[in-house]
Amino acid sequence: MCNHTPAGSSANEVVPGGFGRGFEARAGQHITIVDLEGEQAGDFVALSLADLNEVLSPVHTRRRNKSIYFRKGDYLMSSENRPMFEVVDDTVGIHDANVPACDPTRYAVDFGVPGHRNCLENMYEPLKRYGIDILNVPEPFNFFQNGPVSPDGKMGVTDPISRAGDYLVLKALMDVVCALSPCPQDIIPGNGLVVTDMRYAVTDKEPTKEELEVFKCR
Amino acid sequence: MPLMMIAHDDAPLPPESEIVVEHGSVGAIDVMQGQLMTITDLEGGQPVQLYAYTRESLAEFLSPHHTRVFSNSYRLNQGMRMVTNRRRPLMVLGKDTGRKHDLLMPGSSDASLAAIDLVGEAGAREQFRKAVAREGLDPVKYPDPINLFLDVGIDTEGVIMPHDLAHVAGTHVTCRVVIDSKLFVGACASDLGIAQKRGPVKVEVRNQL
Repeated sequence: MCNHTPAGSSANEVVPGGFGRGFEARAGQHITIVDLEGEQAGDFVALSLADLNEVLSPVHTRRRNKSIYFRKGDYLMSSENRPMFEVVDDTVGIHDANVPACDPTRYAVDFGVPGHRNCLENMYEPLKRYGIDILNVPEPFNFFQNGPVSPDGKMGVTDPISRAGDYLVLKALMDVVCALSPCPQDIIPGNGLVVTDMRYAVTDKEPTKEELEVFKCR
Repeated sequence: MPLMMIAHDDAPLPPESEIVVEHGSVGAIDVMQGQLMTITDLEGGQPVQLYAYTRESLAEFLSPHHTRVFSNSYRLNQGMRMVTNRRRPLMVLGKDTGRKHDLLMPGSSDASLAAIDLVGEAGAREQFRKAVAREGLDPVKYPDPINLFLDVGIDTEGVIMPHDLAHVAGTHVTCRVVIDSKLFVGACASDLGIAQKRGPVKVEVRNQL
């Protein structure tokens, strides 16, 4: 059952925890991202295939939604202030759009662990073939990551509330190339200190309940 | 007095400078390690956009996103280190009469301002790029700004609340510079639909207060 790809799926892949994958989706297709084992944050970026300078933008999304979070029915905006994705379904409701992708400096400077795998390079690797510079890997959405706000405006550092099989479904509103990195952070809270796999699937239509059960399969 | 407590008393001092940034534009100014950089809103009610590239590399720049996470704070507060995309402190917010600065919002653009009927107002994004070009620079990345004097609240539910700007003439911040850099300071309008004014901003780079 796990290897079954439903009809109408153009991509369906498990991304190993701590590594990255890239994929394309056309306008109108749906992207399902599943936290297969729970408590796993996934860094996600997207660029318009028509203009790689137009990217999924957390800052523009915050400005539109007047919230650091997003809800079902919200749009995720591009750097040109255009809707890039619609949030079609979300079984968690808590995602982060504030924390930059972990990168070589994060591990080398903050934790004294040079050479640690990191989301920036994980996402750059599949995007390289599109000719972009690593500096132009956009600021990410960190799906399932949990960064609560304290009353004094401080950012909490804690683990996701997602459980095995929680998922998010986005409808692409333009042709995009995406990258997903189940975050390799295993030093501080953020992934329950255990890095696990995620799945992405691209389907022509909104996935059915049956298809979602297939996508949850480990 | 030495510039900072790492130099001898007789060490040569870097040049001091100042610029006035007119409303709707972005100005550039060099800063050196140890100098004190003060930004003053001369008439009050004007949001200010702050960008910087290190002198060493255009690939290292001031990052509001890393600044947030470096201090685990959604807002910029006095004493916080304003860090680069490589998580090195570029300067520290040492004095602050504004007390309300934003790390979450993008810079405005010509289009986003026109969309809220501020037709003819110059967007920070376009003005920043023009200022960078005037300096003869061609970076790969144009970072988001730190928005000084922009009052954007956030509650425990994550709701973002932009407030009208009510800070008075002469409101200022002073930062101790830690990395030699080129700063870009904007006095462009906000596109958040808030009350604001259209005044100039003064930037001073001094060796002593």
